[in-house]
Amino acid sequence: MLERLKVLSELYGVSGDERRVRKYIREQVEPMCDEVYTDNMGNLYAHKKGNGKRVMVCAHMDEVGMIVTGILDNGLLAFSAAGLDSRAIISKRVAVGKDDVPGVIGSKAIHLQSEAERKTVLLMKDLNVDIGAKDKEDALKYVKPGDYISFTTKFSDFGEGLFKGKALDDRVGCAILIELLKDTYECDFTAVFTVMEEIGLRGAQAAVYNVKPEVALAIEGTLCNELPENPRRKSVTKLNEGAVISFMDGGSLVPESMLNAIKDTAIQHNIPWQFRQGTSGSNDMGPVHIGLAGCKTGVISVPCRYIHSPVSVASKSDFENVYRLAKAFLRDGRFNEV
Amino acid sequence: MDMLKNITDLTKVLGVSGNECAAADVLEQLFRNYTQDTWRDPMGNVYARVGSQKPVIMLMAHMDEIGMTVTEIEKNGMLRLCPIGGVDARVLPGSELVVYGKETLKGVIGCTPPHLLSESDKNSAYDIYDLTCDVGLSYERVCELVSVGDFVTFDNLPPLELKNGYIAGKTFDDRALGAALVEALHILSKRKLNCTVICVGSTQEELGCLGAAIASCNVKPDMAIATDVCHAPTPLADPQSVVDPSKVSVTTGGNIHPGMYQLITEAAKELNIPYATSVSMARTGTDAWNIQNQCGGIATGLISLPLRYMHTNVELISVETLKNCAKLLAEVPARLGSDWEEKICWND
Repeated sequence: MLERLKVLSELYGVSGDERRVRKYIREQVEPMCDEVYTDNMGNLYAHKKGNGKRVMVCAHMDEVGMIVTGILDNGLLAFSAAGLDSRAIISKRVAVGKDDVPGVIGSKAIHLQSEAERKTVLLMKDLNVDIGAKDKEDALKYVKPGDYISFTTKFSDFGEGLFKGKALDDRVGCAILIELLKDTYECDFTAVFTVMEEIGLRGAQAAVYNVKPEVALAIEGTLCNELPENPRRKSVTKLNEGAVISFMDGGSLVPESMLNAIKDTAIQHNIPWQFRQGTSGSNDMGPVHIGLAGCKTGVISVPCRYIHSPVSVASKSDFENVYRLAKAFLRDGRFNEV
Repeated sequence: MDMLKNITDLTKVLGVSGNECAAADVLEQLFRNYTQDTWRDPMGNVYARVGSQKPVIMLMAHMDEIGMTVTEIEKNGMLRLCPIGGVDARVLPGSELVVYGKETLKGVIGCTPPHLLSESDKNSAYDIYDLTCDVGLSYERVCELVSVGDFVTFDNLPPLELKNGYIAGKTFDDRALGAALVEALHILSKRKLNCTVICVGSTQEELGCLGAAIASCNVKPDMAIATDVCHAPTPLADPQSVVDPSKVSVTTGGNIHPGMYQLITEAAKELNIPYATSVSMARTGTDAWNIQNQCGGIATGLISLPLRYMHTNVELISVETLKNCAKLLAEVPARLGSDWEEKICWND
């Protein structure tokens, strides 16, 4: 599962450009499912037919990133971004477009800055991607407006029992969901690898229409803002303290029956778990729980430090525990309790 | 000679100002491909000599890099840092680092996800003293491996190759010019010289060009050329402060002996090397400043490589221009003849 996560983490798949991730996941899941299909938005569905409730489990394929909006006369690329803090993208390496053209995001040297400038936030409009083009005409040989821009952070072990990489939100979910497909469950099971979660929970809105789930679950990489000065309410989750169970977030409230079913599963199987002690942020369950006639939704997450930046950090044990909890929930037929 | 490989080898090692040993080891080893006459001094400067006649000309590039050091270990195992040299804190959030403790550790400078930021948070620039470096270890384990005062640098990835022969990476300021010194030595080792050339990798430039002064006193050269990086055009930069990255910058002004400027530009013309004159009225902010006034005065010149995004880990340069710097560095001494004194004489 960790090997697969490394591959997934290093694939470029900015919201709206999930092709590479979709291709890889399709190859992985096709042998395990009755049918694998996509819809017009780009969501990938892996269906294991069965009797009983229609259960949908989602993980989103997309990651935060940028898109080329124009090319300046000097050959630098202007871009816009979604889900990113402009303060976290300076002095980073990127890959641009279908051909992965290497580039960097630089900024004016400290020597040339005034005192006031040093304290000023550089906005997206102040920043450019530099691919080494001589001028606009030269740049257009390699890239064009509309090309997506991804960070190129390598996945690796980190510290003790941890790993670091880009796009852990939500490739951790993708890796777990692929693993879940190896098993069989007493329900009509559809795994949905969604698109464009980071630009407005878009893919899930089509997925709920296509699957018409009665029960749905999202597997996420979530906030873990464990800075030394932050109390628990500000860190939201803690690394190494187990699978994260949400009671509510910015997009949905988890119904009591669902919350209890997930929690009891964890307790019964001795799986370490923690509450998501904050309600900021949302996920695919936002549109899913109010899609069509509505359905019961829940969220299980892996705590990831520094999500929505070029590099995030998560724990192998949390990653494993989220898988164990989701699997136990499905294997035990807990979806029948909600 | 593989310039890119030499740059890779030179930039991946630790050399924060005051702790340049590892960089010096690599540079000395590269020098020794072309001369066995190398040595060090107590300040950490590295020397390599070719030729044996008068005059003595010193070519210099500094080995040190900007970086950070650990000031505090927090109870959750994260590190607080302070800068060594001109570190722009605004480039740090979301960066990967190397922490040189008892073991070499990976570090990440984290930042708060946008979901948890208020409007006022988003509008205030990060200060290095507020940032934390995560090494993914418990407090106890960190205390075993890391001490206050340990050095920290940007992640030491190999240079990234961009279009048109540009490369981006860390510490091209000034190890790229270290690679140019090596290449100049290579060229000079094949030429018949009427002078002595001493190439110097200097220390502590970023803290005020301290190694350069000591090296000058040790070498007592008749003339010297310092090499460093200068600014190439970047967004929001004053067009008067920057040089076209396809040209070698040759400086003129108070810090530079007019005769040296003349020798360098004549050599550039001879080799058809595109160059631009940079004007600096006083302090050049390079080793040249601390060479010029040593030992009763040394005729000093300055050759610079235009670089974008200085002091970040995506410093960007043209390999072609760097090769031209090396050719030019070699050509000036190679052309010196018996009339050398005439060239730096004040014929007022």
